[in-house]
Amino acid sequence: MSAESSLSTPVAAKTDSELLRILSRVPRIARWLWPVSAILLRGTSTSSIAARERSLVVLRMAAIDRSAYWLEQRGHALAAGVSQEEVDAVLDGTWGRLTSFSVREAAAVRWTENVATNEAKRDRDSFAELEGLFDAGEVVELTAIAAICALLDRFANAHQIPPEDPFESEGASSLNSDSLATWADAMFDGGRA
Amino acid sequence: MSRIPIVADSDDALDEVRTVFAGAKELLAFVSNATRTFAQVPELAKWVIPMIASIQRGGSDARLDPRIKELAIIRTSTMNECFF
Repeated sequence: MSAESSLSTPVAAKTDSELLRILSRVPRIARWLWPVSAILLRGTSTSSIAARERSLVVLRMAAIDRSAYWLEQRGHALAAGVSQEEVDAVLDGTWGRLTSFSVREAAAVRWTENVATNEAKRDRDSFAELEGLFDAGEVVELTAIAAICALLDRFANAHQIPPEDPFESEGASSLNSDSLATWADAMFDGGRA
Repeated sequence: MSRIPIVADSDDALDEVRTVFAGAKELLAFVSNATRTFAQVPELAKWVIPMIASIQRGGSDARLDPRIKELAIIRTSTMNECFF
């Protein structure tokens, strides 16, 4: 890593991240894993997955994985337009009782639950519903969001990374892919990591 | 059969997809069906493939015994019922 002082990240734009500090013990992996996380958690200008949909997937996966680290970051969901009532319902699993979720949002949360419990490959109905609402690229991205959350949840849980102050929220803004590449190059020695 | 259409090599493939496939060949020695599925979202694939390679293949700085790494891969795949 180039400099300890430059640990601000595209995911947490203004706050150092304990998760990244630990991950960066292996720069070769951090150099790619962190940008992938940023792209999926924040989205880019070319993504058609809405910020609300993205936030709901992250929240539901964190709840199922009992990830204290990521549950602490629930403010991102509020910034993306998810109400407190919706956040609470997604966290405690009663989200199906609310009528405020769109059909796409409900399908995304259901799919997340299937990915989290590894039932996605067996649940034909859930996939058929998803396929009718999202195009192939969106399905891949949605599944990747759930999968990267599972990875990060397990990484934080396994290393007992303590929850930290919520990252300063970027709201619903998406990530600039070019700036991400610049960041990764600067952080990890011009891509040689 | 894959639920998601895999992206095949073709003359009309997007430049970004060609770049991803070339990178996969260089890093992983072949273009897997998983890579072809990720290629549905090229902007994601161009970061994911190196990430997978960096974890699976290690590097000159890798300190983990390859046997331990393989055991972790096999055990995790088995527990996840992933036969890929």
